[in-house]
Amino acid sequence: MIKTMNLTKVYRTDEVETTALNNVNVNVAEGEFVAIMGPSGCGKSTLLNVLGLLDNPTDGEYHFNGHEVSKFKERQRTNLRKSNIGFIFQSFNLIDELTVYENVELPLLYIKMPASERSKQVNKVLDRMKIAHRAKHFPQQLSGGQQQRVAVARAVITNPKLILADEPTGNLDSANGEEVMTMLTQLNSEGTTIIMVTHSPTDAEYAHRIIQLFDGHVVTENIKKEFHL
Amino acid sequence: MFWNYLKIAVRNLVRKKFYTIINMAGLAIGICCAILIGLYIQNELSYDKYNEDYERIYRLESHFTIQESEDLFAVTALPLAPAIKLEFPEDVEQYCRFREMDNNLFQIDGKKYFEDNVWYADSTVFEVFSYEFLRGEPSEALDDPNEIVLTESFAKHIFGAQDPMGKFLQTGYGFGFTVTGVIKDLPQNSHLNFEAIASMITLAQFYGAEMFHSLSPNLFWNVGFYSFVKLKEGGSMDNIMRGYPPFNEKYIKALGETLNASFQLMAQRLDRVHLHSKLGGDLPTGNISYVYIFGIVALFLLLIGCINYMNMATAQSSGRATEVGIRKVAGAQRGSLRRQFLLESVVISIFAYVLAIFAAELLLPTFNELAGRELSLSVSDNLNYYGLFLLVSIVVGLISGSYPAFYLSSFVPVEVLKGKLNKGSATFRKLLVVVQFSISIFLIICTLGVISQLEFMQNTDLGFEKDGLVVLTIRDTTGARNLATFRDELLKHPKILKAGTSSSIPGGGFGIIVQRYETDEGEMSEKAINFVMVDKDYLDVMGIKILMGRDFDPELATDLEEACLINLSCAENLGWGEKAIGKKLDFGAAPDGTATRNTRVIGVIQDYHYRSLRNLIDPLILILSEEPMQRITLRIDQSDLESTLAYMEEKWNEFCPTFPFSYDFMDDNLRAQYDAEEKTGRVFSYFTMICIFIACLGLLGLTSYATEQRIREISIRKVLGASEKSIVYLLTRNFALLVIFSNIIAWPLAWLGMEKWLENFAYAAEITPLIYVASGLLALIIAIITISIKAISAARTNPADALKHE
Repeated sequence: MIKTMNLTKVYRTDEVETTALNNVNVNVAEGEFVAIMGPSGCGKSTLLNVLGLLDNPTDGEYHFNGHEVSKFKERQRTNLRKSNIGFIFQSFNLIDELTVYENVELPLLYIKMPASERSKQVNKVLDRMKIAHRAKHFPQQLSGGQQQRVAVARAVITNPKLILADEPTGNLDSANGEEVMTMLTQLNSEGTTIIMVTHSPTDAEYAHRIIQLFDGHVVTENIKKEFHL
Repeated sequence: MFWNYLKIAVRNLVRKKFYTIINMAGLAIGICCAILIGLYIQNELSYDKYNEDYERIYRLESHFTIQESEDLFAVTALPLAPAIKLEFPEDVEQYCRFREMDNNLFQIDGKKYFEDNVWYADSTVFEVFSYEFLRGEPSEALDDPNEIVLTESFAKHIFGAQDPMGKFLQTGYGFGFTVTGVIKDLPQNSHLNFEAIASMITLAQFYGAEMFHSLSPNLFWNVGFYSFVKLKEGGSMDNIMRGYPPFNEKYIKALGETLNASFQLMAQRLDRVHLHSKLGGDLPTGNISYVYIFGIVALFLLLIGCINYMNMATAQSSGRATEVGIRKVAGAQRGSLRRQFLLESVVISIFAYVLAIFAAELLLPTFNELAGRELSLSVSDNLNYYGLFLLVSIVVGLISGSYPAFYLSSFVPVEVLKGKLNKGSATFRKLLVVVQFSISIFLIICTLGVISQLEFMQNTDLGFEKDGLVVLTIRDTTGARNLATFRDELLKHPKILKAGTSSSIPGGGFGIIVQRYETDEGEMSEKAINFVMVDKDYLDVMGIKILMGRDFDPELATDLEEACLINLSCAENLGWGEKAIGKKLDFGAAPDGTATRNTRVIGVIQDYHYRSLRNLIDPLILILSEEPMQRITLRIDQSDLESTLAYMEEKWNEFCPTFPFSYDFMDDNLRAQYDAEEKTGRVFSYFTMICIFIACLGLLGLTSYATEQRIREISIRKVLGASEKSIVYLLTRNFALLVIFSNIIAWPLAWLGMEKWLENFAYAAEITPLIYVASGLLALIIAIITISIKAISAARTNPADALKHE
């Protein structure tokens, strides 16, 4: 599903040039659950952003579902992203002015789904995330765990093939963290590909494979569990 | 999606009340002012358009050239309009002439009614203009002598509930009028403004029927009638102008050539008269430049409101960054984000529009008083106008939202979600503040400029002593006959020091007549020169100085027939200079070589302003007259004014019993000449204050945003020992620099604007650099006070609080 060849990302400011990713070659098959680990500043989030089509690489190739997308324009990336990729962030990133229901509904608005279908879909997902009773609440009225469940609900609402999670448990206590990981595992078992950036070895245990990054390089790939197509 | 945008817009507005109020108030005040100014402009532009056929009605006007001097008049000779109709039958459907009635007294059953706005008009008036009849027949109402048509309110004033038709109104001059019709009151937006019209044919009794109907060439050189022609469908004024040379040949030219003068016909379409005409003898008109000026002020107010919004919305963008990031991650394209933010600003501007309408309704009476109008905002009459402003408000919203939408939608999700935020183009926001303050300073300078011109006009030495002069206007024929005795009686009062009579007073018009004068070479040449008839005491009463020669001498009988005084401009203009005394001047020279009087110059007086300061002091001739004249000017001792006035009234009632006692102070009359400027000055100063207020609202919002952003920095500085003063300075300095910078833009523009406006005046105040500096300082002080409100409270915050948050 994902294949990168010599993926390189360089940040330039007036005086400093920082290489965040250096010839990274990563393959992720459909249905896989991959964890990316490494010390702060090693390029984990940059890799995730490039894989998530939020950012273009400076060099190298990126094949997503068989398309070479590294040179895609913003508009093309957006179109590809909105129906194929869901995101989960460490800081939840919910919109404060929208209710739980409206936050989850948002991606459906951008794929122009009719209203009746939208409401069915949103309610189904909220039920599944056990957050339906909070549908009319605003994010600030929820606990961290609940907020992250809303974020997960929003990430899966379009039934994306790929979910990218950037330290999804970083702001949660262990009980809530475990709950989120269980949810991700559940989604993965239903066929969704998951790539997760994490610092936590415990969370990494949930993955099939761990990719270790250091200073923009892939240093090791650690197969934790057998994975078969 | 629309509802999603709308929801988030409303929730944002509610959550950030302080900024919402500032934004909405700025826009609402701007829109409210624009609504009021627009109403005024709309009214100005609507003049005379209530006439169904206004596009076919033209006013005929006169352009005389006598020697080199040119004179333009809004009035024409009596036979011009009928002659035009006769000679251009293909183009002209009908004509109608107006002339103001001297009489203002109407009496019935022993009761007296005074009304100045009464006119004579041809019976065709109702064919040309659209006046609605309540009683009587338009086709017959004014076709016989001594008939009169009243407006509804004037009829009610005189007759109450009685039927006015057929009633006879006596004047003070031994003739009267039968009421033959009642029309609806004239709309306010009519440049012709009367309470009654009498049949023009009445005048035939005074002029002689033969002369009244004559198209004889010598009648074409005496103007005094407002003449209108209504063209046929398909007729054209251009045709008439093209056909004018032969017309001129036939009726006008020959007589003119004997005077070395020519006459050119001019015409102005009815609806342009009010705003575009500035001719001699014009009825009170508006001024197109004030329409432009107020239009620009309205745009400024809207612009300042828009800028507030742009500034605040971009400044607050950090609060929206996450939202933008998430929406982009969720699949939003830039376009949809732009639409969202534009919708938000349109929502605000529509709320502001609703507020503005309420505010405008509330302020309308004050505005009407200020502008001297009776404008209405009733929904039924102004549906289109409300619609127009809804549209204007939406456009204002779109403009306001344009930059924030462009800016916010350009956020890169990867960065904003990480908390990194490009703070927006601070340069652009600074530029916006500079624009706002440039406009404010521009308006302050203009306001001060207008005020100093007004001061100048009221305080300039006019060449006579204007204080302590009271003017009585004699209308009564018996009073006029006994003028000398009346004057002597008045002078018996110890506080009435001097009295003089004249045909007119400064600011109150003058005559103009062709003079034949002796050139330096001893030959005679012709020129039209202004004149005033005075008595022997006039110069003394007015305090006008004699520069050369002598005043009229009551002891010299010859002065009455053979003497004249001229002003200094006249001496210079005729090329006499120092050698003016004794020069020949034939007053009222006729083509056949005769003159009303053959005089010699006995004295040269200093130039005094006998017209407003808009006009240069033109040459003027003073002629001695013992005939009864309209004006008595009294110099009085102003102590115990009440008893002096009471005495005047007593004597008035004795000598002029027909008319009620009335008097004017000369300086009031003079001031009244500048009513329009004074009104403009007042309106201008109010709108300037509003402009500054809106700009300050914006500045307040921007400072509070800036202090919020820098609260951590402020706290750290305080921990390190910064004083409150230095913090206030830190926060104030940048904004203050912007205000100072704004002067660079405002000054040259204001200078240009003032130069242009002062062109209206032959005598203009000097707009000193002090005014520019003072305006800049005023803006700076107001800005610093505004900024300090927030800066001081920020400087006083406990640094521990802010740092704990980190």
